[in-house]
Amino acid sequence: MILAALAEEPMHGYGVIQEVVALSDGRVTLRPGTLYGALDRLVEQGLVTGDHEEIVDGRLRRYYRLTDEGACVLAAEAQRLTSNADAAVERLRRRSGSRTRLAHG
Amino acid sequence: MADLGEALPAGDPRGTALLERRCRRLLVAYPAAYRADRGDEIVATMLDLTGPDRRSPRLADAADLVASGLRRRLGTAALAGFDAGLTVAAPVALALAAGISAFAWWRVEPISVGIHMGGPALFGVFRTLGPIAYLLWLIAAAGRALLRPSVGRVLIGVAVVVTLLLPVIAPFTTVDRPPLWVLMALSTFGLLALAGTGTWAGASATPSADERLGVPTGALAVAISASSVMVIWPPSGGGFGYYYQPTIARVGTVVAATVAVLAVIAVDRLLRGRSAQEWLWATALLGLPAGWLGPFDTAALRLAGDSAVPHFGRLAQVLLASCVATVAIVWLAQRRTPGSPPARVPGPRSLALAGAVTLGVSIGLTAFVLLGRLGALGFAGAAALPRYVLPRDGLPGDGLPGHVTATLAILLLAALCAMLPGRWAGRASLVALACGTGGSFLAGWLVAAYDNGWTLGGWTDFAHTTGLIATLAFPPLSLCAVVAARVLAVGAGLDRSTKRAAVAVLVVCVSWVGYVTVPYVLSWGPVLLVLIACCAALALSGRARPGSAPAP
Repeated sequence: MILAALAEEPMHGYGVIQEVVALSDGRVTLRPGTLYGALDRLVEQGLVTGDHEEIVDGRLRRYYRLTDEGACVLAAEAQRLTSNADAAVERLRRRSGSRTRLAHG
Repeated sequence: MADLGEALPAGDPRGTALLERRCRRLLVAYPAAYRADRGDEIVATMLDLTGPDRRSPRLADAADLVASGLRRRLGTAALAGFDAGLTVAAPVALALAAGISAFAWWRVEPISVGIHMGGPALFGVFRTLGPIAYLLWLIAAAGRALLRPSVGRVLIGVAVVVTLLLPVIAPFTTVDRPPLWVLMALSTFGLLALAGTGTWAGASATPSADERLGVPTGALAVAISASSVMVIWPPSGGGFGYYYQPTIARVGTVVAATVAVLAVIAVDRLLRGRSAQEWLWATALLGLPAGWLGPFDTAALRLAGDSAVPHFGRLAQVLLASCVATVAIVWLAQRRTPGSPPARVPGPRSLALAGAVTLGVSIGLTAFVLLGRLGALGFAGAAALPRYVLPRDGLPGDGLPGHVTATLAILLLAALCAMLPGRWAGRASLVALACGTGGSFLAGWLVAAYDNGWTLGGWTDFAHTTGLIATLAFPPLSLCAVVAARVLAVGAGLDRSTKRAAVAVLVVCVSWVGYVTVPYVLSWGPVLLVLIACCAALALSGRARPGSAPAP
């Protein structure tokens, strides 16, 4: 979810939290400790990196962006989920087809 | 201060400053270096998240921040499979705690009498204070099924705190508490459940119906299984001892079976070439409290009343189980998450530090035994002197059981061997020595008080008490053995003297711990056997060496 949130543009911590809420239709709310723990792991794995910093209303905002490797990992994961979803849709389509044939019998 | 803050209007800079101070206080959970690097950024996110109308961070955010800080401080964030293992272990731990509680309340409480206190039942209902905690554990298990995860965690926290408070409250009532080992196991299972159900460990914020119902169902299975074991294997004895054996040994077999299932899944996955790190972590983490539920009834094996030979009782079981589980945890901790700094490679300095701790323990325990021999520290001196001096009950003439003297000598020998190649590691060695000395002296005093019914003086059975105190040598000897084994595993680049010292330390430590415990292998608690069998299987399979298993 964090990789997906950072896919479009660099974001700071609070921005990532809001984006994850939006992406999940409000089902997932990241808490700050969990967010920074996950960001640390992603940075250590080379999937995310620091972009720039700015001070807004006296508060430090550090922006993060997806690395090329992170984009590849996200793309692969998205491809996997899409394939799974396609397979499920195909099965449902066949099921409804066979039911229609049975009904006409 | 809090009242002033709550009275300030939204957007007031004083209110924001107050909120910021409170957020910064929470950051103390993080290591200082991390705080210096990331503190401002995290506080800014907390302030954005909390909004201008609040003067304190939300409780859930605060708990999440503290838990994440502690994970960072303890270094568990860098351990491969640790978080996933916690999430595997957490529901099992809660089911075990609730199941043990249900069994103890249902089958053990009605036949138990708090003979230590000897008073009437509290409110005419409670024979011990156990049911107060048991009820809370059952509520926590039900809460997992019915309530939001955050509320469920609060219920688990309440159950842990109340369980830990029972030994403090019991002396002020007319009834006794359940055995300490049971309370310790329940509390630790609860802490595992608490840690593994948080989102910081990767647990789902919206558990599925299976995840919700798994805990109460598992608890019911544990209670019924323990009851069945008790019918098949009826306990002997009566009174408070009756509480010990049904609860500890019979429940221990059920808990062992549960941990064994996790271990079998882990080994099966390893043999199939799949990632098993989270299952291994779950086994090791649950194995620690589960290992305390022993030993089996040792009456037939122990040489009753003979203090001249080491015996294997509850304290030895707890210490040995803790050492074995800790060895498993240290071994698992070698694998790190991708990108994390690798585990520190041990060398002569590590061996020297382990030696310094062991030397400290040797000094602390020897000082305690010698002062006790002189009648200080609560030991009844002159009145009990004939018992110490006369060579009766198989005691040697100096009044100290031979195995205690030998244990103190082995500690000294292991420490000197370990310190030989690295010699003195400066200030770190001094701190290790001081910690070992102070810690072991305090532990010796606590064990003596425990062995004498938690009294502070008038201790008369010097031989028995020092026999128990000698088992405190297990942790430092295990520490030396683990460090020596890791030094030898590194192998390359070590000079000959370090290798020789490591071999000597390993032989001395493993031989002595084996000598005083292996004769009682049939009475070891079942989980201990499961853990050792699991470690042996993994070592033999050769597939789970650090770095060789597939990434989780």
